[in-house]
Amino acid sequence: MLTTTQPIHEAPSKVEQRISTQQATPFRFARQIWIADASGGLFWPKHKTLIVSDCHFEKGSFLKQFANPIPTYDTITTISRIAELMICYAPEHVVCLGDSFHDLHAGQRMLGKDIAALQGLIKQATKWTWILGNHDPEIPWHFGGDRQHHLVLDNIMLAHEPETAMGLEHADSEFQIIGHFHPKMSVTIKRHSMYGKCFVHDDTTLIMPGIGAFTGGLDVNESALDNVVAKPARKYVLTYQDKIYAL
Amino acid sequence: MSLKCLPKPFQKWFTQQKWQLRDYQASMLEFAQAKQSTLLIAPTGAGKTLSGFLPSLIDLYEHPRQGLHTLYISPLKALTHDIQRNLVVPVEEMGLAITIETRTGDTPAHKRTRQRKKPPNILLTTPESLMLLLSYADADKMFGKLQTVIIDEAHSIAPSKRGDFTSLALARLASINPDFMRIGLSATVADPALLAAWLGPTGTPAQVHICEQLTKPTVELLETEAHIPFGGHMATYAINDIYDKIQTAKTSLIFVNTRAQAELIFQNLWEKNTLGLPIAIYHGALSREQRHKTENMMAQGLIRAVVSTSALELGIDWGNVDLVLQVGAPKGVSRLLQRIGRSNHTLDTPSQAMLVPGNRFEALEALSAMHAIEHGQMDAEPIYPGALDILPQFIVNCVCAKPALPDEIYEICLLATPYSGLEKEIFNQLWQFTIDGGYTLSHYDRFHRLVLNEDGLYEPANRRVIMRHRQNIGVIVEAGRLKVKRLRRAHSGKIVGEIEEYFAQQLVPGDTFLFAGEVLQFDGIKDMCVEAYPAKAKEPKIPSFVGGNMPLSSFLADAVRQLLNEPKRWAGLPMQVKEWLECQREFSHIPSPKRVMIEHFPYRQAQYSLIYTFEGRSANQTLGMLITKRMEKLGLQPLSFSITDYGLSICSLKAISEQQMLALFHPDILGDELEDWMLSSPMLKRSFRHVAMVSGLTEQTYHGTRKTMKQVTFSTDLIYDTLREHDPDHILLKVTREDAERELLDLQRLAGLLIRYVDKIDFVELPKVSPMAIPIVLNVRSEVIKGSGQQALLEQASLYDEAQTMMAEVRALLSSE
Repeated sequence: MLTTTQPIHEAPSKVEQRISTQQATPFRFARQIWIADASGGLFWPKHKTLIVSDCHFEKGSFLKQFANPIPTYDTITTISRIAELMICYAPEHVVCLGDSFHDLHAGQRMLGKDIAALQGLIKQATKWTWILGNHDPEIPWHFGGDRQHHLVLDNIMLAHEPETAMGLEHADSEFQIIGHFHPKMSVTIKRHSMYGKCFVHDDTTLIMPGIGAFTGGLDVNESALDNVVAKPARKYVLTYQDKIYAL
Repeated sequence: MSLKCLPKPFQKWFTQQKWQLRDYQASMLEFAQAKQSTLLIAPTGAGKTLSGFLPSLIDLYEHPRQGLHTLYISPLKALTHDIQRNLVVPVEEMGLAITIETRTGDTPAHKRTRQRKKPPNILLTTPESLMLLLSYADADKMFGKLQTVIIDEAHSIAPSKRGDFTSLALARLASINPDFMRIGLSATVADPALLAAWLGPTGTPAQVHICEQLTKPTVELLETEAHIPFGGHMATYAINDIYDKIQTAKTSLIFVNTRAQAELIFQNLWEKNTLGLPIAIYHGALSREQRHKTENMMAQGLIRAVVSTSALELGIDWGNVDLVLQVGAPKGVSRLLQRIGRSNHTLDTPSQAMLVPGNRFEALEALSAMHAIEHGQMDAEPIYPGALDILPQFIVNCVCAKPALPDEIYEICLLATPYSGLEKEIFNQLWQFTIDGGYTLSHYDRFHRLVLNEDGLYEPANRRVIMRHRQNIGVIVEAGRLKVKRLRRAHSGKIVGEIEEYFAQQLVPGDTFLFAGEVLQFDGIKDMCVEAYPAKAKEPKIPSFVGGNMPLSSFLADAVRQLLNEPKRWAGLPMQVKEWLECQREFSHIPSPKRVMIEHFPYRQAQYSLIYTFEGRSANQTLGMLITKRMEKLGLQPLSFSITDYGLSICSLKAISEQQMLALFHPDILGDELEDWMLSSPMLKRSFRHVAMVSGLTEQTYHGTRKTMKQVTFSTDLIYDTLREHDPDHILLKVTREDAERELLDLQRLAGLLIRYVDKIDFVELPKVSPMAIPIVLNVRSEVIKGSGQQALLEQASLYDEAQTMMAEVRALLSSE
């Protein structure tokens, strides 16, 4: 339940402030306005919905099993990112767009305090939806929230992997928002190039960046993205150094 | 010296070769009798390698035996093959019953197994392969009766991380059998005592034996009618002159500084090659077959010229090279001497060399280097305390061979000179890191690399730990590489070499690039291969890949500054270069000694400040970080800085006044936030990437295991960031800082430098770039400043106005409830 201790009219000021400092930026997609946040989250003002994608919780401990003594602070780092987004945007509905957990055993490896922190977040939201991804066909039992293959709101489908045009028709939606690819891009301005995670969309499909602390990225020029978002119609929102820019 | 002290077959063979036993070779025999570890310093072509082996050959002839007697360690894989040729032949001709084998990463598996069961008398190997042998349980048996260890090209191994690594391997050998003798073979170095200390175990330096160079090489600057460019390093302007020189010599070696340069010079030479002279190319990215082919043709005297990178710098005996051309800046006196020494492999005739500077600044460097050679001066390479990231690797290596306690391994580390000052506390932290990562926050952790066994000793937790360790031994971290397949038809063709993955990734189908001496057209990446067709185009569209840059020695940087301030010596420079300096004097200033000149001018849509310090790269690097931090604070929007060998060039969006510059270049820039700024710099992240791989935190990507490792290949920058946030005292962060200090100047020295230059700044404001600044601003390698400058650029490019117009809608939506 969102029992807001702060009056609701204060929420816009936080968002506006974030936009004014270039830590968030509004952009248009699917005939609606969205707010992309520098930490990789997407806020849908119309439905007070926060979308995050590819958390990959417990990726660090997954790799550690193979004798890499990798630090496992990634889970708590990612959880804190979502927590901060929730404080700023005060969403009523939180959607995790798949690959939230790095593998099926992630729940068993997760530290107790991290489990508690995530449970706290889920409680805080009125509604919480886990979209299932290729890494996490099941969500660990510790956690509440709905489990869905996809979700359709207005005429927009939220899914982990892209649906074909046929699939979209079937689902009775015109647009889709997906994760899975963790897009990254570089921009060169005046001979200086800058590289960061990004949102990329065309007229029908928006791909979210991965929010997980240990998620790498796929360059937007990779051929794997060619058939997902049409190149001529592409628009980008680039995150760089805690700031975000609609390009 | 008479041959009489040699056994009969040796006498006979020497006489057949019409060889004398040189004085120092006889001395080496005496030292060996006394089991005295020795560092032999002799110029190339002095029969150094043979003198290293001679005592072992005689001992093995007089006391034949089974098992390993002598271990020969060389930094190059190719070198061990070459020595085998030059060692096996004499041994066969003398009819000695001595077994000699090589062992490197290329040795087939069945031969490796046999070598461990039944080792040869003499084993030729690399530091990495030696460490691998030491990780097996039978290491004690194999090395138990070792008599001699010969380390070739010791001067090139010692002052690097690989030197630390080798030193630890020797310490481990000494823990098995403390009595073996160490022989180091080295070219002339500035400080032999340092190298001798490195060679011997802690506290017992090897003795130094120096064989004087009899002749000085003849080095000249290439005279040319062509226009010497201001910038760039490729030196293609001089192609005609280089080709003429090739024609006058029997065999020439053409050294360049980067692989890209090798490809370019090679291609240009062939375009000029109307006589069809056999000219070849040689660099580390070419396939092994191709390199072997060139080596063999060279040995048979079938080649007139080879264009090569440093890959041919060490060891390999090329017989009849009579001219060395250094194309591009020499970078260091020792390096230049090493390269020059590749010609005329005999002691008493002087080597012939010709220097071809790539730009006008490099001409100054070339003349300064010639001056130093003339006066017998050398650049000294500092030897640092042992790198700490190697220790976790070494610890795992030790426990793979046999279970152990931390104290035993600590004692072994102390035997290695670079680690003689290793603190127990630091070792303990590295030990804990080796076991479980040593993270303070993850109190519960099931994944340990080492576990206690029933005897109370530590051993690897499972087979996988051992396997992974053995696959990742070494300290050389390379960028991911992809094989290059030269296509005849779709997907079929020959592998011609490897290129850096990041280079391949920026190619789009149709792009053309230079490789293995021809223009290739990129087709795609398939099965970890870059597939490319030979292209008809003459000019590659994409400039070739980088690969193998090298820093200038600070000694030579000083020498250049001196040259600048002695105009009467300018006469030794090519006319154009002299005019260029005069032009600089008129347009701006010549940097004067004991003062710092700073030029400031607009260039390419930004503002540039050039600070001529002549203090060497590490000082410039640190200074660049400090000054840009202060600029960031003052809102001057720095974008990047680039280090050159002579100074520092800072690019910013806003212009800087004299007053601001004086405030920037002031000792008080060493403020509090400095630490944090440094820790988030790209340079520290680069160091961390290296440290993470060497210490076993992550691993290099291997082509074979690529698929499963894909998950690991996310950037180590992400790990670095979480580690800094959650565990700022973690040992690897400490190690990273220390590692970066090999690149950075320590702050105390920098403070001294800044104090020295207070009130000694010459600020020159210019309407455009000065003649002297041109080569520097054309330098492409730069450190990016992540801050307000870049943000300003992105803001300019972003649809900011559009966002503003959306604000009203956003506000309405948010307050709709």
